Amino acid sequence: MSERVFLLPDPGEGLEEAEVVAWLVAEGDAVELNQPFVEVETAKATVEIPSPYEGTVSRLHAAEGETVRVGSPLVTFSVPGAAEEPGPAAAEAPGARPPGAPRAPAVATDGVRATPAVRALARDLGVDLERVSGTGPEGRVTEDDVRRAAGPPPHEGGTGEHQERVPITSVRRAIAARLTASAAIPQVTTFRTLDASALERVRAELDLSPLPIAVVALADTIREHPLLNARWTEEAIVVPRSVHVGIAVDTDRGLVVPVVRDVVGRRAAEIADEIRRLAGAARDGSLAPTDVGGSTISVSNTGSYGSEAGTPLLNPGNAVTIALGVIASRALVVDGAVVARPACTLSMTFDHRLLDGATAGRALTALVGRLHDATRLRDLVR
Amino acid sequence: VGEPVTLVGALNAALRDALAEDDRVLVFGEDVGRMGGVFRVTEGLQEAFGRDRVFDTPISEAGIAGAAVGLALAGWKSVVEMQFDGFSYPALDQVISHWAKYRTRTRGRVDLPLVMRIPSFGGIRGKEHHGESPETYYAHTAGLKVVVASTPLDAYALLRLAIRDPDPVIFLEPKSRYWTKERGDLTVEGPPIGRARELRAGTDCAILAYGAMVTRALEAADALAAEGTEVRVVDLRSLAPLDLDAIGAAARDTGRVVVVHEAPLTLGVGAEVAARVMEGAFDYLRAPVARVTGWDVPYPPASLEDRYLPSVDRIADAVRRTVSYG
Repeated sequence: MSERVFLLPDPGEGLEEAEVVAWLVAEGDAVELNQPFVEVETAKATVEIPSPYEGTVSRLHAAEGETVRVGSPLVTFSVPGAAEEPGPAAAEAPGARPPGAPRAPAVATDGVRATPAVRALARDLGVDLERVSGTGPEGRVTEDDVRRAAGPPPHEGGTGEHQERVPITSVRRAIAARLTASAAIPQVTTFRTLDASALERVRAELDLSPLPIAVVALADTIREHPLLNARWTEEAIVVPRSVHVGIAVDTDRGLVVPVVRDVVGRRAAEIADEIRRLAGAARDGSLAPTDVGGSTISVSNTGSYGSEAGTPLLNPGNAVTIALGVIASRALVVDGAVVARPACTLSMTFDHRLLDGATAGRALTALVGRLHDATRLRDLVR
Repeated sequence: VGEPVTLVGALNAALRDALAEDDRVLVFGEDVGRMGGVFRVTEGLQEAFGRDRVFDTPISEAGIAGAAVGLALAGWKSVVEMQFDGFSYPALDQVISHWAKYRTRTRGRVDLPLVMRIPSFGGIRGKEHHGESPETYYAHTAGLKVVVASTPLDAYALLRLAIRDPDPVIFLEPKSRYWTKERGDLTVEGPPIGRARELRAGTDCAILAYGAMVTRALEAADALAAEGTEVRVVDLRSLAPLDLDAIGAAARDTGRVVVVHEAPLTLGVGAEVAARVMEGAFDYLRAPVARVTGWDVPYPPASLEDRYLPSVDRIADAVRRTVSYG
């Protein structure tokens, strides 16, 4: 008889641990080859693990309810005959060790199981395979095991030949924190092509850029679709009555989002002046604390740097971000004929917790409807 | 580009073009003249080039192979046909003792530009002697080149190259692919003898195959792609010499190699490929080389043929096992 320690295998989903839900065998029980002996639960599924040996269970290494890390001992089997006649893995072992190196303890493994590619990697990274516990099939040491054992790659000094290290500014750090928080929100982006003929005409009449006109049309759309202006909290969906529009501004120090307050009922020219003031202040770093924070919805004019369409991330606390792509002449089909028209792509990223795809799509259609209609736009912006 | 051509049609065109190009080219064998060959490969050639250049022989394979040697010494280039794989064995003595040795026997001074065409392998529900995979006998004999076509266009190129070669070439034709079609130009441009062809790119595993197994390997690769496994498929096409560069690259780039052939497992081409992979790319291997082959039994009767030949499922399963090895 010989002892075989069975390590918790990698369930193959990038998971690092699993909980023992139930033992299907007890110490001293006989097991057959492929007989399920334990039920474990990972973050994704509950699975039964079949025994790789025929023999008896000599030790359970974890209690029910306990969490076991991948590669840690789970159970020890007593297997008949193996000590007398070493298997192929044992025969392979001498080649795996440097000459004169001590044998691995017979209890843990009967020789390292690793493919030639993994052995070459271990050699390159200076990893001693005898010290790595294998998480692959049949306890095989995998490439990941070797890389984990090797630790993170060494950092190069400040101005190494192959890379340079840029200090993280506080603005960059704040952007990173907000966007990382945003990434936790289940969000989706939907797109519409906008025939911008009416928008272009009206903005030319008023000598404004498209952005303030889009903000006015958005505020009017929110009257009809108030959830665009809402925010998700764990207690309730909060729907503010005021609309404060965050405007993404590109500055030397990074993205800043100052806020145009109370846009409902304001004229486009007034909003244009406010956007100009905020953008200038954002660029020269003179924004007042009251100029930032508290937006209820955000707009990103990705067209300002030529981008055709964007999938903006949500500003945490908003349910919607609108991105306005570049307005350029495009081939559109109008009344069954292909014609050149000024056009752009509108995209809307929304918080899927409080807006469904259909709701969001209808709201975007409503916004596009306003921007398509020169008469209605003129009424809105004056 | 032109009408689709069958493998038989491509071989017929290659013989026709070689006979037209070079007056010293002869075609002979059993039923290749008046009848045009049992598989129609030589159809119309006797009418076109006359009974002196395309002719029938007695049923004596050793005589056919031996006469080709004598004709070569007199300046002729013979392309002989063995009617079926199983009938090529009576000629083995001439091939091993003379075809393979003339170059070294004469210290390199005498060319022996001979081609032996052998309709080979199984898959046509044939009787005994009609489904043999004789490639190892020839590839194991130093002094012979051994090639296997898998598609009509490559068959044309390979046969033209074989006929132009100054040394003896054993040309194995996958019978079960005779009537498959391919569209394109018949040309000798392309890889020379000794070079493999990569027919599909992939980085997770490489399947090396030849003859009729190439198509099955490609089908298996399609099925595996649907599962997210991208498989490189290489048509070896030249078994002697083997394309060691292509074999090494496949092993180094993917770390996982599956060899497929109809011939039995033991000492088949797969054994040689596995050894070459081990010698040339040992440190890159992520799994043992797998072989999907016929079984170590005489070629079975028609009713059991499907259980003998590597199926698409067997090939795909071998890839799955190889990819999930560790």
